[in-house]
Amino acid sequence: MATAILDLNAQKTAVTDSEDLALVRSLREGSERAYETLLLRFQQPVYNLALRLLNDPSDASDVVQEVFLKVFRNVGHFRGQSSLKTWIFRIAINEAHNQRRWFFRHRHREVGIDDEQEDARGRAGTLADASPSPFDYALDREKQAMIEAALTRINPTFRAAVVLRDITDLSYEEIAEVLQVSLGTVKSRILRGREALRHELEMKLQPQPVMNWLPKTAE
Amino acid sequence: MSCQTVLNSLSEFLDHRVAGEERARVTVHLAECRECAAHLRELSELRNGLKGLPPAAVPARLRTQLQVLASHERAHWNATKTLPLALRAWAANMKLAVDNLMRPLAVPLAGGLASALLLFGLLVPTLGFQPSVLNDVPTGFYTAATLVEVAPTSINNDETVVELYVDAKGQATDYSVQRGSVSPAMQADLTKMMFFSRFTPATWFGQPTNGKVLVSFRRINYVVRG
Repeated sequence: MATAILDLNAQKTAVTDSEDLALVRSLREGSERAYETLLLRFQQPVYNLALRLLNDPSDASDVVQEVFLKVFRNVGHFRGQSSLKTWIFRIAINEAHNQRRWFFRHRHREVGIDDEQEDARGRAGTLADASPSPFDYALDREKQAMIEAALTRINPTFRAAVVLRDITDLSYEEIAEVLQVSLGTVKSRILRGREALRHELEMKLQPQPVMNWLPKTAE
Repeated sequence: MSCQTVLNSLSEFLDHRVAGEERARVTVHLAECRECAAHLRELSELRNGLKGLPPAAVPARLRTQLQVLASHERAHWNATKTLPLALRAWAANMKLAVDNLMRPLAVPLAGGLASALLLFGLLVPTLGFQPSVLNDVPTGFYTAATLVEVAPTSINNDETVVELYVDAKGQATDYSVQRGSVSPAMQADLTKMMFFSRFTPATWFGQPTNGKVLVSFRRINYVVRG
């Protein structure tokens, strides 16, 4: 069963690689359609990745622009040694890292005035969800909010590995390429990231200590 | 298989990266150990929760910005694909840069030049130089004493040069012989000449002061140097 899955993945990867190379060739030729295709394919996953890593729509937008600027300018140097997806995600991870470093160095908290950006964090900013009822919707939303909050609290190194694995759905090998670390390091980071998340959620779900109002009698 | 070993491999087990005998051993352990099974269930729920997070929609503004960026970069890429195109693009950029640099300067520069010419034209008639007064007493520097009128004298040596000391009142007060010789008879004659000659005293910043006059006697003719 596992072998069959691996074979299917290999076939899929081969098709994607040939598509990637064709897309890169078209980009080098300056085709307008190629630029559009690249944006359509990657703007959503790259934005999602940046948002999960930075937890700030404004910063995520900045990072996405930087990523695509670098992609457009360096597409001539892309040799196809890795897939286009891992190459772009690697740039996104590096840019997000730079952004986070810049943030801690220069800015602790700024008040945003962009209403549209704020909306993007709300429910209206997410894609359609197939929740069957308002109750399920509310329950799901609460669970999602808890997971999102827990994600922001764990170590960024582990967060990147977990996000790439469980949200962006990359394989371990692709994550190793994106993060430029060994496969063993990827396994370790995913394991520790998930454990950290589990721990965070466990802490959150623990019942809070209740105040005891002891009645006092007059002496 | 110990619980710690199983817990360490649960993450990979969940991702179907544990295969063969090891997977079978983990499965057997999970069937027997309630705690490890609960741990796996929690991890599985967590992973499903992460996978179930709704993908964030790209803001409309970002989409537009990306399209503009793509358009700009594509134009730039097409403009610099070959060397002649790159040179042409470089020339166009330089022209644009120069235009952008000069445009803000053009109006102030033209305005400044026009104002300068207008002011110069208006001021030229008032800039005419006044004729200087010929007999004006120069101030601000030293003027030497001069001999105005010399009294008749009978000194008739071949060449005698005498330096006369003229005070601030224009009177010769003393003399010294610079060249030649003066006999005792000539000394009296020289004293008379000093007494009856008229001098203009030397001045220092317009004020009369002591000075010297060189008088050269050459037979009958005499030359005054001042």
